[in-house]
Amino acid sequence: MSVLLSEDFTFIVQGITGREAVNLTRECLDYGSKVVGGVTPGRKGREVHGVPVFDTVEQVTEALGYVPDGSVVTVPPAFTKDAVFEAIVRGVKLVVIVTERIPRRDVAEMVELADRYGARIIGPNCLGVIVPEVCKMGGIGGPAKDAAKAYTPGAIGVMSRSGGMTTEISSTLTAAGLGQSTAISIGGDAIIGSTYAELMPLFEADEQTEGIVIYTEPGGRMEAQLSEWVKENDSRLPIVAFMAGRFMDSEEMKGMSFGHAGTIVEGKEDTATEKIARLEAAGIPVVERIDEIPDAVKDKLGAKV
Amino acid sequence: MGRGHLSNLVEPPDFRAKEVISHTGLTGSELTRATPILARLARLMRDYDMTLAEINPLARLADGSFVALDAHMEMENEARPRQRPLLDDLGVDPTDMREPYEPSAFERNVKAIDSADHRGVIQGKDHGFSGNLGLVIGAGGGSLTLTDAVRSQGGRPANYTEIGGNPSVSKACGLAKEVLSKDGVEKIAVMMSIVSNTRVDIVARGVIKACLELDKDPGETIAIFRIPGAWEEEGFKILERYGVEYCDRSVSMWEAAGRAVAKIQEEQVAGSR
Amino acid sequence: MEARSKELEAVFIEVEVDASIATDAELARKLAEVCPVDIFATDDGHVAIVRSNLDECVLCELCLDAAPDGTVRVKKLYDGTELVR
Ligand code: SF4
Repeated sequence: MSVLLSEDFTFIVQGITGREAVNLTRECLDYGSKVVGGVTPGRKGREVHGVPVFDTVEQVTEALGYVPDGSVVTVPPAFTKDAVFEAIVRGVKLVVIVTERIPRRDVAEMVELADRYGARIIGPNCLGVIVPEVCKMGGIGGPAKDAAKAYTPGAIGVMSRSGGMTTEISSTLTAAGLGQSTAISIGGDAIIGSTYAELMPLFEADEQTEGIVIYTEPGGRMEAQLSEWVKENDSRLPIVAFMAGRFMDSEEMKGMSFGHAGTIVEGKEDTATEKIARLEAAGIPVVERIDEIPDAVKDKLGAKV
Repeated sequence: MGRGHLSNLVEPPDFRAKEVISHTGLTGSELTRATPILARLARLMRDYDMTLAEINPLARLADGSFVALDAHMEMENEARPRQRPLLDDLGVDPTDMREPYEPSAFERNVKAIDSADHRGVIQGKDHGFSGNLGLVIGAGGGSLTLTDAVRSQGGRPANYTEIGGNPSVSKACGLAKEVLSKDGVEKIAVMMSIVSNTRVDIVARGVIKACLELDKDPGETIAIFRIPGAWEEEGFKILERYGVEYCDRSVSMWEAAGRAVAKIQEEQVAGSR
Repeated sequence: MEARSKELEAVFIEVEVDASIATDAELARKLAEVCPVDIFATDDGHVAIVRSNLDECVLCELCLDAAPDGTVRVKKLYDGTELVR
């Protein structure tokens, strides 16, 4: 098994006629994903790589005769909230938001609405989710042949605040003979739909997953939240973390944002040093180099049995 | 202390403000007078896309009314376009990004190159950096990882950059030239995490062209080129032609950064002899 | 920004158009339309090459598709090979 996606998972692309969306659709189809429809208002009747385009999500569900499992939203920031609301209200349960630079208030509203409808949001500002050799939802890993190079099936769940680093880490695991159960680019913004701690129960319940690797950065409370979750839930899964942006701890960098919108040190709690201490206190080793991850994972897995 | 969570889907209601204040133990006319102040502050926070809205201190006059003696508000950058009318009212110019410091010439130049061409995104910062190794790196998470890797191995970055979204040759070239034009920068390290959208060959052309246009030898100037991914075979051909040391994904980001640092240190040792 | 250096053209890519099609106005228009990085332009009914854009070529071969076989050649100066139909 895997988390979030499976063999039969169907999804649509909102904003499908945009340049990036056209590429992403091609990549997902090539990977074997079931992209069953697209939405761009006013473009009903067109096709993108054979995928039919509609004006509304409602039209897609009518044409299909069922509600697709997911939607990848890649529309400009000013229209994202409405597109996400539309998907959720029409019954879509997994929404991946690719768009960057969405105002936080809009994201907070989307997350709240998703909660009320029992839907889940991944992102914004993310590359999506991939279950190696099964399904890829979003631009994660790039063209199908490149994604196949980096991602292989296996027992490690990957969660990352950086889309590109999701691939770098998975590729490093692959090279060391450690495949991935599911890799999730969770998004780089200050407010995101699903944090590490919110995704942990899914991995916990997934038989295929035996360990977790996370990529973390300064800024926000997500790592502290994960530490608390691990302590409170007596998780069966060993976790290894990598922390980027240690240089941001220096005094001159205070208040500057690097890398992602959510990566900013405003208070002591946001610093890499503080986060590393918290994670380690929860039994999560934090490595300094990406190439140290496979050994750290093997150590942890070995220690468990 | 009183604390409360508010829904973002509806206008913050007065009763929530009243509840929060009542948690502090306040009652009587103080409670009824303070309630609308907090409620309005909450609405202002939401309506104007603030990331912080603070009244501190709030004073009570002899007649029992409250006045704000000071206040602090921070608006999110992403919301600036839709909050333009308010910003105009306040006289905040669209170009004034209210950074915590004055942007440097390098930062301004990189920004100008970025906005002149819509293909790809480049960002550059040098506030707080003063080393001798120029960094032409990407993307978001990759740049953070690589900057750490350079510093942890004794390297001194001259700047920070982010390349992403498949920039044009001229944009990559422009960025590399800016980095190379910084005082004290002799070599650049060109590194990214595995790319799937940005093209290896396009970035390779850009950085090599930057060297050539500045009359520098690319093989000498580019300490290391480590960008694996899309179009890497084509990129590696170009790098080979100009004698630039490059590596693929089998060389880790840490190791690539280490090689760049070692090169610049060797040079310094040689130079000081 | 002050000009601090020269600007080079055609360091990596050269595009050649056969004399037989150089004056074909219709083809000139078509080439200008397909090339995503504006390497082709129409100049008074002639096919013109925008030299300052040559190094931006993304090797997409759309120009080769648009022109009769053998009439457009995209040369990769860094390895001596060329794209041609
Ligand atoms: S190969 Fe593509 S980019 Fe290059 S000249 Fe032809 S059309 Fe333009």
